[in-house]
Amino acid sequence: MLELQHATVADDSALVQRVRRGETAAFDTLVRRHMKSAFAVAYRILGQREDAEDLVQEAFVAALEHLDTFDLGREFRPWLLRIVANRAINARQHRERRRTEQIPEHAPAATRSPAVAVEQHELQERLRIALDSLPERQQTIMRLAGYEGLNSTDIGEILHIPAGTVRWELHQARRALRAALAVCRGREP
Amino acid sequence: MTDHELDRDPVLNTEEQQALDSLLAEPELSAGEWDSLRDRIERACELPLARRRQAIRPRRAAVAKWLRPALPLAAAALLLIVLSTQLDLGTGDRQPGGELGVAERTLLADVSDAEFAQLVSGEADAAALLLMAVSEE
Repeated sequence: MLELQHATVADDSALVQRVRRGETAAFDTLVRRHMKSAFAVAYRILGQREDAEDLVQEAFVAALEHLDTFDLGREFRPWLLRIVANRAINARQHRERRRTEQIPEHAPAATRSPAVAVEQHELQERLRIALDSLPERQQTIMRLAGYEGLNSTDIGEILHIPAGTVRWELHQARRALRAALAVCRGREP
Repeated sequence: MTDHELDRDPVLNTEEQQALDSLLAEPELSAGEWDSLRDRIERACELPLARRRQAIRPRRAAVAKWLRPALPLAAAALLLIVLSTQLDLGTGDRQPGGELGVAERTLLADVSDAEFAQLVSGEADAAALLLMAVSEE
């Protein structure tokens, strides 16, 4: 597993060197390899597909423009995802400042019974409100932690904080969510 | 606290965790949608990639850089060479036995002041000059 990781790092570094010379094929390989993670991170932070797609495109352009600052001895993926996450966090903050209404993309699944679907939707809505009320960093960590491809070390690299801090913030965020949900339940008739 | 310990952290119950996962999970994109996104990214990156390709050709770029201002200079030099060659043709036959140039032939010719003025002004035609010569004789 470790060898595979080293191989990927070396492979990515070789690709980055070729992309620095403007090789389209090498860039295409990098895009194919990391586009899905980039989209997942963007979507999890922004919560909207079109915004996430736009952001991934912008992030690749930005990565290409700043490729000379990339340290070839390090992993490419966290470096790219950091660009994605930073831009997504900025975009979300900008969107919240404008206070535009967010259209929830997660409609109740058609396969469930209407009652279960409504209940599930209400729970999701409560969770969304509770999540939005978390401090910025906890919120971002909580959103990224659910993505299978990222562990606390990856998230730490993306957000430039120690992995231990990520785990602690995640724990605190879960507790805060739980507390918020309990309050909601307490208000229910 | 390790990842494993956190995974066992029973803060959210199963239903809540599922709802949270469902809330945050990115949508499933079809192969065509991924291709479309990749195309978008690559189109947007065409120009920066082209700039990079351009930047790695410093020798050609340097030649082009120096060639651009050098072209007018080269043209001016060529013009000077052509002009000086023509001047040599006009004035260089002063050696004995050499053929004289048009201007020199005109100056040395046995013509009156009136004919000379006509010739220099360029107004005279052959018939006028002939009449002038006959009348003088």
